[in-house]
Order: sequence, then C-alpha cells, then structure tokens
Amino acid sequence: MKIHLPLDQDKIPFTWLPFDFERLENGSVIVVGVAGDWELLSGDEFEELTEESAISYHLAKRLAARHIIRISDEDAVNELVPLKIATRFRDLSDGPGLHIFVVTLRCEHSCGYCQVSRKSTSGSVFDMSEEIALASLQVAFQSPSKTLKIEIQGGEPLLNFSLIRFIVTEAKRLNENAHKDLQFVIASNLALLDDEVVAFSREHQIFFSTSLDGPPELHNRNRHRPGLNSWELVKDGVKRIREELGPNFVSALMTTTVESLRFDTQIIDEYVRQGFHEIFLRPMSPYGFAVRGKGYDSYDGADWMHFYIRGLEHVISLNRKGYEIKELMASLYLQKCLTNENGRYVDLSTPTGAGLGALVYNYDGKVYVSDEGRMLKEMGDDRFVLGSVFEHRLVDLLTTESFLEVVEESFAPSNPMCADCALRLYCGSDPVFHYTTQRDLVGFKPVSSFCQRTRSIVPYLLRRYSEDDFCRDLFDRWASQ
Amino acid sequence: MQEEDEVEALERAIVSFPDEISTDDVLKAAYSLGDVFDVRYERNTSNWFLLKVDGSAVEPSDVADFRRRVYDYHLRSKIRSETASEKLLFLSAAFDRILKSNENA
Repeated sequence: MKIHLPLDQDKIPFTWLPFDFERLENGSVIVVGVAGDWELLSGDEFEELTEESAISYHLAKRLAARHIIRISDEDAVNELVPLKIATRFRDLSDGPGLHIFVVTLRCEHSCGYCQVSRKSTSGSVFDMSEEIALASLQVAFQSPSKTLKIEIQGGEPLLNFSLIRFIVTEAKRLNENAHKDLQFVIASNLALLDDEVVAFSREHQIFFSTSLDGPPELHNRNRHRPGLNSWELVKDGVKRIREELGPNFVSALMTTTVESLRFDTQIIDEYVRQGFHEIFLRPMSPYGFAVRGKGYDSYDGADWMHFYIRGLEHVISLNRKGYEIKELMASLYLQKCLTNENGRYVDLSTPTGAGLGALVYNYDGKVYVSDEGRMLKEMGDDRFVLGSVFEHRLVDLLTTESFLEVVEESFAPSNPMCADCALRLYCGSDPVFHYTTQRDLVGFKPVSSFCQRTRSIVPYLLRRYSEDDFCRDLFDRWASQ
Repeated sequence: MQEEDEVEALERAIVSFPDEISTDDVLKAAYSLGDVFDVRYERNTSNWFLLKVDGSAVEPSDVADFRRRVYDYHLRSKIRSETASEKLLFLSAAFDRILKSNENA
C-alpha cells in the first residue's frame, strides 16, 4: 500500500488505529495492529507514538504502512484492514480437516516418554475393528472441510496393517461421492516396514511420519526396543521410503528429553545427515508415560528455551552455509507474523483447533478433541471425550455442552492477559494443555509454559528478522512455504 | 494525587497511583505478575501493598517494574478507548466479508 506523506513537513499529524504493544527486555517495543501487522520500535519511537500528536516523517511512514496509525484522511485502510482480518479467520467455519485414527495401542518399542500409554504387542483387544473404522470414516466424511487428512497412529500402527488397508480403501470408496482432497499419513517407527506395506503405500500415495530423536546414542536411549536398534531401523526405513515412494514421502519428528538438552546441534546435524530439510524442535508434552516417569518435570521451560534458541541459530547457520532446512516451530509462528494466514496447527489456534480443526477416533470407537485429549483419558481423565462413532453424528460431537465450554474458554480475546497481549494473533489457546497442567481450561498464564514459549520465541524471531537481512529473507521463505 | 512509594521493613511496599489510574489497570498488572507478587488493596485509600509470593524482600526494582506495568495497562486502556470505533468498523466489515464468502461458496 502506498503511503502519501507531505514531504514539506518535519512532523506528520496522525491518529491511532487499534493496536497493542509489548515491551522487550532490551527496551524496544513490538506494536501490533488489529490485523496482525507489526513493527519493532525503539523506546524513543514508542514514546513518540504514544505521547505526541505529530511524529517524524520516517516513523509515520513505517507505522502507517503497518496500519498502526492513520495519516490525514487516508481511507484505503478501511478496506485493507478488514480484508486482512477476514483472510486470517476465513477457515474458522471449514470444519475439522485432520482425522486421526488410533488403530492400535500395541507397540514393540518401550519409549520412556511415550504419550500414548502403549500396550504390549500381544494385546489385540487394543486394536480398532473394521466396524469401528467404518463408523469413524462415516463421521469424518460429515466434515464440511474440502480437505480430509487421515492420519493413522498407534501405538505402532503397522502392527494392525490389515486395518490400515481397510481404512484407505473404504475412505477412497466414500470419497467417490464426496470428492474431497484426501490425504493419508501413517505415523510409524518404521521398524515393521516391509514389502507389503511399501507396495500398498506406493499404490495409494501414503505419506509417513516417523520419530528421529537425534544421533543413535540419544535416539536409542530415548526409544528403547529389544535389540536397541531403533535408530538403525529408522535410517533404513527412511531410505527405503525415499527410494520406493519418493523423496518427500517421509518426514520426521523429535521429542526433547533431559538427555536431548546436551545434543542441541547434534540432533539437527543428524537430520541433515539423514537428508531431512525440516526439523520440529518440540518440547516434551505433559501426557502419558512422560508424566508417570516424571520425564515432564525433569527440565523447566527456561532449559528448553535455551535448547531451542541454540538449535534455531544452528539451523540458521546451516542455511547460511547453503543447506536448506526449516525449523517448523519458527515457521508456524512466522506464518502468523509475516502473512495474514492463521495456519491450521491444532495446538496454536484460537479458538482451539482441538475438535474444530482435528478429531481423534480411538480404537474403541470413542472420539476425542485431540490426540492429547485421548492421552489424558489413558491417564484416567475423560474430560475431552466427545462421544462415540456409533451414537453420534459429527454435528452432535461438536455441539456437546462440555465441548462448547472448551471452545468458549479458548477464545483468547476474552481471556485474562491474552486479551491485552500484543502477540495474541500469533499465539493460540491450547485448553487441553492448560487443563492437564493446571486443571483449568484457560490457565493462569504467568506460570504457563505454553504462554512463555510464545512470549519468548516470537520476540526473538521478530528481532532477528529486523536485524539480519539473511534472516529476513529466510524467515519470509519459511512463512510462505 | 502525589505518588508515593514506601518500602516498609523490606517485607512489603506500599504503592499509590494518581486518580487517572483505574483499579482495573492495577489488577491487570497484578495478574500478569501473579507468580511473583501478592498485591493487596487498603480499603478507603489509594494504597496498594506489594509482597513477594516467595516471602523475599521487595526491591526498588520490583516496585518500578510493577508501576511500569500498571502505567502500560493504563496506556492500553487509553488506546482501546480512542480506537474503539475503528476496531468495531474493521471487525464488522471483516466478518461480514467472511459471511458473504461462505454464502457464495
């Protein structure tokens, strides 16, 4: 948008448009407009904005371009700002697009931080049946979303591969009338990847998501299995999928443990060694065995932030040296900060993405708002059960009193501290996390690690973006991909 | 009203604010620092008591930090008040646009 400023004036009169602000530790201030455009100001510039009725030419130009102020009788902003807001929230009525099928709780790994509360490989009572799978698909296809991503999880889902075959073929049959953009992902440790699985996946264009915690000494310590060869199986599985399905058919996720904190750059180097171009530096979740084994409490938010910043800077330096690799936590935030897109990441949405963006169909036919909600049930708390695939349609599941309360409480502009936070549009709510850690859907934000993560990461990203031309270009690419 | 800060016996600070600072401004600041401070109100005065939740001494820097937060919340209220009509205009136009887009889909 072109800003026309009178060049013959030292100071430009202006009026405020709606904005919020956050002070940073170094004295600078982030100001964010109602549509999400932001500017980083010095302390003096912020004083000029908030205490003067006319400001310098260059400051006026910057702030008007971000819709923080209005200059003279400029009217274009009355069209442009609503357009940006509408873009950010246009997906709200789409309905859940991610449908997670937990086909078994059985697993042949015994990871100490397991969030799934896995069962031993012999307990087929923990397998989803074809009857439940079909009923779950029928609920999923009731979603108005034009895209349906069916993600198949466990335990280790390949232990129930016959059901995966059933789900994929039945979903495609149902889609003959629904005409949705249908995608399939299997979240697997790849230990049981064999010729049959590969052939079927190639035929039906199925993607894989696997776990890679870092170099073998770390990965095998975190992800125990008989033979202590989890890392080797991941390496071989990734190689095979790339060769036989295609280079982009497998992605990896890591989980941070206390042990991981010593391996910040080595974890990323391992991803590079294995040819990945994305890494998601995630904190440990407070669910399942991670809590029972006290793994969740074994490090605090500050430890993880130091780990994250070191890791992010290492990713940036790798890009400088010519290896393209994206850090996904940063890219999720950057998409919200640098574009008008809200992203559809369930854990970083307001109102909550749990239920509204994703549903989980458990092996027993129960439906949950999210994977984390299901994990909470395995820990003995059924707060986030929506209903059953045999008793409820999609509309019934999403209009229960208990779920509507979750949605209402997850609306950040209504929540204490969030309502006044400049970073609100870049953040989310995560009522499941706050209920799990504080027994409150809203959560007391001063002690919320979820809140502290956003309030640490976003200012860091915006400072790097403002101070470093290479980071600016890199972050622009991450935000738009 | 003149602002005064008194630090009594290093256990608590007494902080007062001019009339333009609302109770809401102080309560919001107190909430945002609720993991560090216990903030109490003296009835029929404009005095607020600042104590540390861990029982440690209240430092002058703590008081300065709390005071800055209160004034920042006051500034936010002022910005919100002066831009309320624009915000309403923008949001109603935005959601009208979304509604029309959904109807046409």
